[in-house]
Amino acid sequence: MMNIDAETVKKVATLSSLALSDDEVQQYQGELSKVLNFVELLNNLPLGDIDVSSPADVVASPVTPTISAKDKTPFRQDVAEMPLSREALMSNAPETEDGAYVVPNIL
Amino acid sequence: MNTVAIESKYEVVLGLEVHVQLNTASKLFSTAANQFGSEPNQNTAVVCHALPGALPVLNAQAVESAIRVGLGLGCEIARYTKFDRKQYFYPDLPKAYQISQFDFPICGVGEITLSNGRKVRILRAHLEEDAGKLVHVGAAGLDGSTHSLVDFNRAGSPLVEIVSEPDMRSKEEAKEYMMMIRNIVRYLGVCDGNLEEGSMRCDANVSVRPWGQAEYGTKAEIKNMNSFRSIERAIESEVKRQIAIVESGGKVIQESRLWNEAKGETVSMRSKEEAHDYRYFPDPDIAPVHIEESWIEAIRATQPELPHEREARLVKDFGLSEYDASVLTEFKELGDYFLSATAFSREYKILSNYLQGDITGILKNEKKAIDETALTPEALAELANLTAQKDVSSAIAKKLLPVMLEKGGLPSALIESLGLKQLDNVDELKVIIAGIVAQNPDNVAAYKSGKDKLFGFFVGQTMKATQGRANPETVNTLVKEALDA
Amino acid sequence: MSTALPTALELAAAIATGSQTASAVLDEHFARIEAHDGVIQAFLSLNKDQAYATAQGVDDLVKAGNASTLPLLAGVPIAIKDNLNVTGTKTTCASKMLESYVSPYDATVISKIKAHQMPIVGKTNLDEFAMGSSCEKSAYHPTYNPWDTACVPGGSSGGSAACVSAGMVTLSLGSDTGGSVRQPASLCGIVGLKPTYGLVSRYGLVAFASSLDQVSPFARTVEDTAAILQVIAGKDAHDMTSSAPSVLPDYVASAQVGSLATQLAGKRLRVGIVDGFEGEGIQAGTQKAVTEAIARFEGLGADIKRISLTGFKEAIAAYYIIATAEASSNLARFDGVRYGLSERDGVENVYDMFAKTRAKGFGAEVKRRILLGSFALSAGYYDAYYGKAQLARKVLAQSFNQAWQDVDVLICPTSPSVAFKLGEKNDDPISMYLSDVATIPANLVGIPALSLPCGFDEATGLPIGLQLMVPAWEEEKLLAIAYAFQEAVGLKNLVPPAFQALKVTV
Repeated sequence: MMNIDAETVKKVATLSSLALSDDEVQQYQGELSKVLNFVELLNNLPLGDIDVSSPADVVASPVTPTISAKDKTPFRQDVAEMPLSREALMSNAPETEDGAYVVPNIL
Repeated sequence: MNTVAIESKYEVVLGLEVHVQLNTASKLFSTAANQFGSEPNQNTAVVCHALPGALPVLNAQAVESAIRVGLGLGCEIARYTKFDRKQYFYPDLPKAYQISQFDFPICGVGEITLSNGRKVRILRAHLEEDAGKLVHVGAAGLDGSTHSLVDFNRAGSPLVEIVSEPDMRSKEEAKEYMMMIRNIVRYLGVCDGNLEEGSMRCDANVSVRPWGQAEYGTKAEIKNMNSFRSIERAIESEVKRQIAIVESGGKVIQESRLWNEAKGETVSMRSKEEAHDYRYFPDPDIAPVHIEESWIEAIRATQPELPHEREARLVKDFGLSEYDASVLTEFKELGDYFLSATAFSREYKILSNYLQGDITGILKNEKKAIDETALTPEALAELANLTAQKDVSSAIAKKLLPVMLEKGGLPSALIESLGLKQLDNVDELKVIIAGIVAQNPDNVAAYKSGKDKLFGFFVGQTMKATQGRANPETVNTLVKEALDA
Repeated sequence: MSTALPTALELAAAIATGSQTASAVLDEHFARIEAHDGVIQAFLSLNKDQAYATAQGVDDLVKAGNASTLPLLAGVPIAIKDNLNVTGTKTTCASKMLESYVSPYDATVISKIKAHQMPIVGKTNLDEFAMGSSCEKSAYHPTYNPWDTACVPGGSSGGSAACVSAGMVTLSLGSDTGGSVRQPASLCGIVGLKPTYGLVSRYGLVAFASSLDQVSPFARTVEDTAAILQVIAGKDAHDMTSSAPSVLPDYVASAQVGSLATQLAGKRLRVGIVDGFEGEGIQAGTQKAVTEAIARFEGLGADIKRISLTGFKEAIAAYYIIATAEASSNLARFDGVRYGLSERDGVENVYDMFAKTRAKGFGAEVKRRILLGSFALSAGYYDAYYGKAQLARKVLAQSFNQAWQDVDVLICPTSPSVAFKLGEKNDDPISMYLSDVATIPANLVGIPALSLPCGFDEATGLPIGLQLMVPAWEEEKLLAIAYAFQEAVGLKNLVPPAFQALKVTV
């Protein structure tokens, strides 16, 4: 049984940069515990003859292709291209100063 | 016990993490230009601002350059490599994660041997993207600033992070290790290795332990060392700090510390990585890469000459002394000029001397690099040949070289135009020398009575009278004749 | 059920032959939107100026006698889910976080749509950041099912489904991460296709779960679906995960009479029925419709087999770990620095800005998933959750590969039930997640899957969708099978009677 406690929810909220009220912490604690219990289903899964000895094979998603240098266009050739202007790219900026983004003090 | 005695009880253990900024045309995962424009955010594209919907695309050249670096360090090259997301929040990190490599770095174990024989093992080298730049406004630094400005020109620039094992035992070794890496990447042509400008950076993991102890002491990570001198000073300062703690019975805390150049001490960093939980996972946007043997071999076959290879070649093929070879290797551009000049001259020692001596002197004064001057290898070669033929003396060379560097031109032509032709005519010289002897009877007498040093006076006066053009050997002979007469 | 409304291909033909101008077609589309969207609420924003400019361009070509140079589907209006970047339009992802965000660039699929001179009529509603199965989690307002406006259209691409279903457009784009196009297609009585992972570029699609997302089209016929797939598919240099063949197959040809016979080349079609979709959890009406569908396939000369897929059930658990983990990472960029909502008043420092911005900008479901995803990736839990979920994915992939040795296509109901009432599933996240049980596996293993109408629920009169799945890269076969089934069943180009007003003449 996976039960998440309030402390864990707060820690994860900090990791995710989410400010949660005490009510929200409680709410999510309940919901997350529920979901994680549901996810325990994963433990039942027979691994069959999946090779878990090679970490590379374990983590690789079955859908993401792998590139090899033998491919005709393996990856991007090293050419600089900037079709969009700074103004366009920053057109949704909340606050700027002389072409840079402004952020409140860091400390 | 005094400080020196105390410190001698402890062994210093050092590991370095070096970041090398690759000089690719575009960034690691973005087509934005990889250069440092003066205006903020001018070298950026969709990916650099992490706009919603942006996707990273890996730069082939960066992969190749990373492999070159690995080969240059003697590292194993991975056959399978992938990229992972390192997640934390900070304003200079647009995606709130850095694309780096966690468990399948592109380069594995390697080794560098220092001049004292110390073998420093490389644990790994991997590719990762650089963060943007923060400028703090309203104060000199972070403290007291009112706000900060974020510039993503540098965000996404390709970095190779080289991690050593804690095999170094002194700040001198650390400095040499850094200099060797610097030279390797410069020789490979993948980075200009400029610590001051930040194209190469290093963090030092420093710990101390009593001599004979097997376990390592707790290490602290020192950052913000922007020159070779800072690296040495910072390590020295940190070692002192740690020894003081251990001696007083305390425990060194494992943490990151910033080197403060002005204060001459390391300061604990306000942790921006409070929860050191980066939640690494494989980046699902980036296809993993299979690096085939054939590609590695193709890169190996076109690998530029490495520093130690050049040094050996200078000794073997050109007969230079080990010292001369090491200087010309250390200063790559001088070595490049040397080698180019050897196509036109066999006077290797003379070439080497000019480069290391007069030319270096002028470059230091002008604060220039040799390739920023008008000097050509052909001109240098001709100068060496003329010198060997004794048509040019060191005095004349000293007059020619500034012009050759400033304006260019071959020495033979300059000798004509500047009227610097060496004065070899014995009869002319005899006349001049006779005149000097006649004008200085007291010195003649003094010389004859045993003040041998005054010989130089007569030589000097002759050179002065001939604007330095007189053939020095001939002058020596004739002055001796005149004085002995 | 009248099918008097023209299909996309019919509109394209009318425009190409000059019997209708693209501008007139567009007028009718906007008229229908005006007449019906007050009730359906499919659209978040309309794009009239750009759309008319595109239509005018098509009309100019036709007038100049260059109709033969018109690309496929030129002049046919299309609606776009509001998580796809279209330059100059707001791309809100139905979130307060991006309420005023205006796209400075086009997604690759949008570039292709523009290259085909298809007018973009507007951006459609979705569950916030594509996280949901009912369109109720939009931060703005829900969208309503044209077949019963007390019911949800499904999600997350509810808006894109509803506007096609209600006859406002013939085509729309959505995105499918765990069923977000197929499930609404099923609930709205239309066709929805999730392509093979990598066939369609994700560049410009606001990422939810990078290894699962695919831009996916809606249409009311299989032929129209094939046509729009032809437009948007293709390998993209901007997307490293796109790996489409350099020469695309002719999808349009696959959705034509006789195409299935050609594909099968004399062999019998082998249909596999996925085990586990009878009995508890599946609505009676749905079960009945699927039984009838099986009979229909037998009528087409297919061999039917039951297939048990290991890991099918566990797939939801794996999905919720992988999708939330990737989402928690993809949504981390919304921090108030570079775009979107930015809470700066009264914040102590930049970290405070991050936390308050995200607290204010994200809805509860998004926050829930971010927390779950971050947790799954956090130190000490990675192997137990994310690691295990990726393994489950492989088990499932192996299971499918084994099945493909015996069958050409796998079928099951797209959704365990017909459209549910608004508010019905809001209290229990698990119950909402379970509505994706049939669709999630195809995203986990990357295979293409399509939902098309196979019947109506007698009790409610609501449409029921059948899901077809084939091996990766076999869209031609998928479309051919779907087309044959569609022609046999005759449930095509369905629009609820209430929305058939404002007839269009072709």
